[in-house]
Amino acid sequence: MDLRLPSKVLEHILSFVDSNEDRNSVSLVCKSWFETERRTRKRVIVRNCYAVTPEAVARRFPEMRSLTLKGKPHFADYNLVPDGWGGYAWPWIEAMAAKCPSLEELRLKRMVVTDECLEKIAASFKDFKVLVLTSCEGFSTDGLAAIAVACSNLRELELRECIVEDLGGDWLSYFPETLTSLVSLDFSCLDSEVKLSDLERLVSRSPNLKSLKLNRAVSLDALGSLLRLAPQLVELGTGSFSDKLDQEAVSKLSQAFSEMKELKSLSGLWDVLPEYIPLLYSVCPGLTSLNLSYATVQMPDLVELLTRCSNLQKLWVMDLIEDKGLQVVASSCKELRELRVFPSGAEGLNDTNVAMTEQGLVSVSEGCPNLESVLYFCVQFTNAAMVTIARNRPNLKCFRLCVMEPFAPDHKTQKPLDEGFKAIAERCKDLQRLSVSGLLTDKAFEYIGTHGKKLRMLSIAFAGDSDLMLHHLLSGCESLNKLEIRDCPFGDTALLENAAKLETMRSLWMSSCCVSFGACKLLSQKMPKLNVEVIDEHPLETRPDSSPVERIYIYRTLAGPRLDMPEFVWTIQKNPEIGVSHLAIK
Amino acid sequence: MELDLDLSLSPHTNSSNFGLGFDLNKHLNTKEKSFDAMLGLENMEEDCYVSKPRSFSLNGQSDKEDDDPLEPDSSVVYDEEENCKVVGWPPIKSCMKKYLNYRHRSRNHPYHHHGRRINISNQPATIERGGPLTSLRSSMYVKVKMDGVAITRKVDIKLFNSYESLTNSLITMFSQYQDCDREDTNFKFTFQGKEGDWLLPGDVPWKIFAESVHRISITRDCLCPYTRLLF
Repeated sequence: MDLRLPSKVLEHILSFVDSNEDRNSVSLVCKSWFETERRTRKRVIVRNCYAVTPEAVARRFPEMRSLTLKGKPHFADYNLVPDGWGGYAWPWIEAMAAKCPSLEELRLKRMVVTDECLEKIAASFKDFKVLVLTSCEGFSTDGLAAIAVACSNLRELELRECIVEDLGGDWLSYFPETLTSLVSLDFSCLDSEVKLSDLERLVSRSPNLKSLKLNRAVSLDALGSLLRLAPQLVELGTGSFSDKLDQEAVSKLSQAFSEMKELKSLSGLWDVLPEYIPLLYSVCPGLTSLNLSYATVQMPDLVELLTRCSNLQKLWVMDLIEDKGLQVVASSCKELRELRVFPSGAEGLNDTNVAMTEQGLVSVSEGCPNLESVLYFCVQFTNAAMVTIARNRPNLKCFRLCVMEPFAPDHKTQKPLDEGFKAIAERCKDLQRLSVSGLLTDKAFEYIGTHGKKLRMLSIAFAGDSDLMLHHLLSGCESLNKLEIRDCPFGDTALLENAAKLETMRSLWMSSCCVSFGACKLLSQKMPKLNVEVIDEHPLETRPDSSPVERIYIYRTLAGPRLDMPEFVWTIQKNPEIGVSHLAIK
Repeated sequence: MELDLDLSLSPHTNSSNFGLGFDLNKHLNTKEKSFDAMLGLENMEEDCYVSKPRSFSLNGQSDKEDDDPLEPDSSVVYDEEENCKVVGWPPIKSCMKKYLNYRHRSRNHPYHHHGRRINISNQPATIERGGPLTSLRSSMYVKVKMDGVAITRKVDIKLFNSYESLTNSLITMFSQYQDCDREDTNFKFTFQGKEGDWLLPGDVPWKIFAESVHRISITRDCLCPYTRLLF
C-alpha cells in the first residue's frame, strides 16, 4: 500500500513551514520529501560561501527568491584577513542569473562585490526587490547607479558599513521618477553629498518608505525638509547633527520630529551638539532602538535623552555615558534587551578621561531584567563584577567583553579573570555567543568547556597558557559552531586530537598562534571534508614542518578546494608538491 | 610531539618577542614594496592589515616558570607620538575607527567647542558644511593607475606638499614596472577630482587639490627599444 502523501498535499503543508531549520529536517525524512521541499524553498541562506558551490545551490533550489550569503571570516572586520583573500560575490550572481532569474532578494555579508556584480544584478533579475550589503567592499557608486536605474520594483537598498569607492553623489539621481516602491534606503556609509532635491523627490514619491538612513553629508537643515516629507518613517538615520541652525530652523526641525508618530529606531546623530538633544525628546518614548555610537555628547546630555526612553530595547552608545549614565539606563530603560558600549578614545584605545568601569555594566544587569545581549568595551574588569552580572542575568544569550588592555588581570585582586568567566558560563545556561578577554589561564577554558554547552560562537584573544585551552573547548563545547582565536599560545596537539570536531563546526580561525605548518598538512590529509587554508605572507615552499604559520582558516565544505585562492593562501590541494607532513605525533 | 618552534608566543616561555601579535616585529620590517609587487597587492589603506611602521619596543617576559604570572615583568613602551597599535585590536570595525580618529583630531581643533552648551546666536561661522573635515584626516589614499601597468597602486596624498614632490614619487614608485629609461619617458599626469572631472597638475592650488583628488592617472610615452627600431 502506498502510504505516501500526494506531492501536491505535501507541498501545501510545507508552505506553512517557514524556518529553514525545520525545512532542513524535512528534507532529511525521505527522497520525496527532499524533492518537494527543495522545489518549494524560497529563502536560502548559505553562511559560508565556500561551503557549497553556487551551481549546486541554484540546482537544488530552483524557486529561490531570496539568497543570503556570508563570505569572509568574522575577524576580517578587524583587518586580520588580508585583502584579496576571497569571498567574491560574482560566481554566485552569475550562477543565479543563469538558473534562478526570478531571484528577488540578495543579502551579502563580508563579500567582495564589484560594479560588474551590481550591473549583472540589475540586468538579470527582472523583479529584483531587495539588496542588502553588510561589510562588503569592491564596488563604487557607479554600481549603485546601475541598480537604481534598472530595478524598477526596488524595495530595499541598504549599505551597512560597506567600503565603497565614492565617486560622488550622482548615483541617487538615477532612481527613475517611476520608482515609487521604495521601503528602505540606507546609504549611511557613503561620504559624498547627494543632491538634496533628488533625495527629496525620491522620498516624496515613496509612500511606503519606512526606513531612511542618511549619510553624514546630509545637513541638519536638509533633515528637516526630509522629515516633513516622510513623517511615517519607522527607522531614521540622521546625517550630521552639528550644523548651526537659526532659531526658526530649529523650531521647524523640532516640529518635524514631533510629527513622527511611528518612529521606533534612531541612529546617525553624528557629532550631535548638546543644544540639539532636546529636539529628540518628542520621539524618545516611542523608541525601541537607539544607536548613539557616533553621538559624541557627554554623560549629562545622554542622561537627559535616556531618561525619556522608557521603551528602549536596544542601545548602542559610547563609553562617554560613564557609570553614572548606565545607572540611569538601568532605572529608566526597563525593557532593555541589548546593550553595546563602544570606546571613545582615538583608534578605540583608552581615553583616560572617561569614568566608565565594570560598575556600569553591573548596574544595567541589575536593573534590566530582559538584558540578554551585551558588548562591552572597558579598560579593565573584575571577577566579582562578572559573578554579579551572571547572578543577576542568567538569561544572557550573548556576552562579549572586551577588556582593552591585553592580559589585564582583575584590577582589584590582580588575579586572572578565570572565575568571572566561569560564573558567566555556568550560570548563563542559554549562552550562545561569548567573547573573552583580559588575563586568562587554561582554567578559564576548562570552565567554559565544562559549562558552555549551548555555546555556538566563541572569540578569544591574548589568552590561555597552552594546548589545554583549545583541547577543553573542542572537547567540551558540544554546540560549538564558530571558533576564532588570535594570539594564543597553543599549538598542534589539541588541534590534531580534536580534528573530528572540526567537521561538526562551520569554521575555525586561528591567527598568531603556534600551529605548525606540518600540523596543517597533516590535518589536511586526515580530513578531506575540510578546507584547511594557511594564510601566510611568506612563501611556504621552503618552510620546515615545524615553523608556525601566521593564520589558518579551517571550514567544512562540500565544494572541495576553492579555485579563487590568492598566492598567500595555501591548501594541500593547491600545492601538493609541498608534500606530506614529516611530523611524528606521539 | 617533537616540534621545534621558531616563534614562541606564550608569556611563560623563552621569548624575546612578547606575543602581542605575531606581526609586531615582522610588520615593522616587512612593509616592503617587493612583497606587495610580488603578490600584486595594492598598497593598503590606513586601517589595514599592514600598518605603517611604528616604533614599539617591549622588554622580554621572564622565562622563569615559577614567576607569578601576574607580576608584569614585561612592559609595553609606547611610542611618544602615538599609542602602540596591534593589528585589529581593540576589535572595532574600520568605519568606527575612522570616525574615532577624526573625532580625536577635531577635539584638538581650535573651532571645536568641546561639547559645551553654547548660545546659538554667538556662534562663529562653521568652517565647513556638508563634508568631513578632510584636512584633519590622518591620511588620504588615492588610486594611481599607470598606462600599461596592471597593478593599481595607492598613495597617501597627505605625505606630499606639492605637485612636484607627488609626481616625482609616483615616477619612482612605478619605475620598477617600466622597462624604459626614466629620462627618456614623457609622463603625463591627470587627476580626477570629487566631481569626476579630470584636471592637470597645477590647475588648482595644491591645498584644494589635496582635499578633493580621487584618482590619479599616468600616461607615458617613451621611446622604448622596440619603438626606436621603427624610426
